[in-house]
Amino acid sequence: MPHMTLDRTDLPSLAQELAGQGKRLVLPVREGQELFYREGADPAQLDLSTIPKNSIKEFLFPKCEKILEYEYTGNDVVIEDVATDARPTVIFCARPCDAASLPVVEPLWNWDYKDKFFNERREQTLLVTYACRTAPDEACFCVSLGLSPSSDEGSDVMLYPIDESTVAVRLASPKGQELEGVFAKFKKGEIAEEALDGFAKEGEQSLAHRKRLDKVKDWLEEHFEDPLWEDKAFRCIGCGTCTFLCPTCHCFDIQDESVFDGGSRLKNWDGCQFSLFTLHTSGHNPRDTQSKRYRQRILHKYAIYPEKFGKVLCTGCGRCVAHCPVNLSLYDVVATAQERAEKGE
Amino acid sequence: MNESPQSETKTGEAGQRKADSSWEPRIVAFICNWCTYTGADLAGTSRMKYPPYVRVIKIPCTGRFDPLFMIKAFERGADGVLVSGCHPGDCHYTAGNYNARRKYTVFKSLLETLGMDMDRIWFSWISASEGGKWVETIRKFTEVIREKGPFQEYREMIDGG
Amino acid sequence: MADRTDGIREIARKWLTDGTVEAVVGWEQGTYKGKGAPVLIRKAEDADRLLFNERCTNNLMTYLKRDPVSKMEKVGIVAKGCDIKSLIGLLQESQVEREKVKVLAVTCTGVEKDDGTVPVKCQACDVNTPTFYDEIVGEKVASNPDPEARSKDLERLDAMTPAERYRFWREELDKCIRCYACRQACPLCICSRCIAEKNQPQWVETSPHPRGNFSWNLIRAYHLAGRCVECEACETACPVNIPLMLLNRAMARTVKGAFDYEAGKDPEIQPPLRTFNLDDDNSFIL
Repeated sequence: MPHMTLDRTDLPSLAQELAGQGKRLVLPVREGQELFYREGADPAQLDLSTIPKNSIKEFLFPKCEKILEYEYTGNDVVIEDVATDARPTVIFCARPCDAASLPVVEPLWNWDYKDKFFNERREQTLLVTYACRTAPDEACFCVSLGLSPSSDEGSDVMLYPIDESTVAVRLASPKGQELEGVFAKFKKGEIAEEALDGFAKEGEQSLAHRKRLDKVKDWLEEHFEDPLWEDKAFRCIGCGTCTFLCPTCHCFDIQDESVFDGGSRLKNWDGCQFSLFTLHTSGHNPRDTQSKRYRQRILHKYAIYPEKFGKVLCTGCGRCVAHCPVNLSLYDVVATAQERAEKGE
Repeated sequence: MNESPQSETKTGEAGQRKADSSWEPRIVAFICNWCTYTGADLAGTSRMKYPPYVRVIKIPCTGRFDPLFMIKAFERGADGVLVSGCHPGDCHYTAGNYNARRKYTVFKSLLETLGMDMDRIWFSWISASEGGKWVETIRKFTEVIREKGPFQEYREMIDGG
Repeated sequence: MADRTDGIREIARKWLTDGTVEAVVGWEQGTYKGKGAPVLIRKAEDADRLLFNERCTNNLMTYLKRDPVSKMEKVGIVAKGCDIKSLIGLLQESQVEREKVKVLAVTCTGVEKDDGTVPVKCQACDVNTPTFYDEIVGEKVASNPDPEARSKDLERLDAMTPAERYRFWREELDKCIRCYACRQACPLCICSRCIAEKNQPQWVETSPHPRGNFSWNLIRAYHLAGRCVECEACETACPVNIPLMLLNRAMARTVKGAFDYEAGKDPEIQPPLRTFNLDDDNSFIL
């Protein structure tokens, strides 16, 4: 079945058209030397030269949000629910690794509690994904997680930059298919399904050097006390960069901010790499060294989460590798685990 | 009724207070126990009158003053902050005010760099016998703040925070 | 600058073999854009992992506060001139014993960030050939600091009105996500319990909303005033690209102007906020 194509230069107008009146529009733009997904950015500034530094996580799970308000009245506390600020949103030209993070975290936000804050935003978000012709950054390793630079996991619409001036469109979900009319307005031509296969292969080839990580989970479960942890984690300085830039990391802290007669309860991003993360009120800290905390991060992502939810808590976007101030490469650590597993060590 | 900034956030009446004609300046004064506080006390026992919008917080010495106190005051809705202590050379703890003076210089510069309105932050040396100076300073400061109105830059962060 | 590599390996090997140090903190080949990555070498035979080149941008002195280095009795650290300045700062504040740290200095012609740019600290560098060290490696490099490098950006801020400046900082600081990468990367952020981690009372709100972010970044800049050696570890680490060095340089300028003090020069002199002058500026106090 053929797919429609459109002119690359029409992408900003397409974004505008999809956002229509009043929808929140998120797209990647340049700020200095890097790209960031920004809400309300000017579509004319759309920049697709590489993967943005931030992920799309903040648009579904903000760094700080109020979840309720409370007021003391005599001996009672009155609690008031807070409506989420969820509204119709278009995330335009997300990367496949970002889109794929949503199906990964959805089970978490709907596990023992249905998180309305995430769900309402997810439901009102249209995800238009811009496939990578080749891996945009040397840190990328999506193929190691069974994904690819043109994966449609989690996406509503796929855009494939098949050449410098042409973008092919594939409506990948029912939500996407409803918008056929909107995309048709920009139709330039058509392209056969097979051409997209070629595109996908080119993308995968660019990451052919990345290892499959199928043996990592078992290795992790058997090597809790391995000296690898102390060795690899030495350089970690316990900053939250990897955690906060990661599209799948989701830990949060609840903070009450009060003044005398009442206040608000907030939900803020938190990270397991902070030294206080597991500090008990007794003063005991079960993860009192960085190597223990780092081990936990890898275990959670590659063993515990898959055990619980059937998916690895990682989409290989590479941000943790690219932006770690001390070049502690998560890929390097899990690839080492894979190698050792393959050698029977 | 306690009109805390938080209640503004709660009831969503963010812009209300700014336009409210019943707004009065809220000044927080961090004053040292041995000089300025005693001076303020003298003003009181002498029955000197001055605008009632200042909230006094007593610290043992201006050397104890931490700029974080000022930030907290602004976060809680202060429109102006005064820090006052013994004259140089008269510090009850010998040199606390000299250390404070250096802190002020650095912190003042930081606030200027951040674009804060420096007219809302006053430093003074008021001795235990200067009840008159205390009254004058508060009177003048209250007028300045009244003129300027609520501290918008911080209100914005309290309401939107 | 590859010649330094051999020298570093030789000295590290020697120190580890004769027990001068328990371990050496240095750089090894990293895995991203050719950068150097911090490494802890405990055995002499691993000394060949060490190297030095213009992609060794980190300030390794930050590891002095961290386990396992903090518990070691004697440790060797490979250091550029800028890194050594932060050690001098720590010595001034008695945060580390001089005998504990064996400084393996390297002469340096400047480093390059991931995006290929040269940091301001290198443009302004006056310690290309360090003078404070236990051993030094590399040919002498003359310093040729650009006198405008550190003040260029400040001029942009100076030219703004206070209202413009406030809006500028609000825009920048609102981006903060409270990851504390700045604090963790900084060799002089050494408090065992950071002010932001104290919650009885909660002095600095931990939430990454504008008010909390303003408070955090302001207090951090204040706590570093007169101490920051402008190694740029913080700004380099910041994942949301906040121009932290603007604040730090503004404070350094104030401290220089008011107290004629520059951080990281002399381990013997008192830091400026630990001391005072009878005729310090009094003009702004009523």
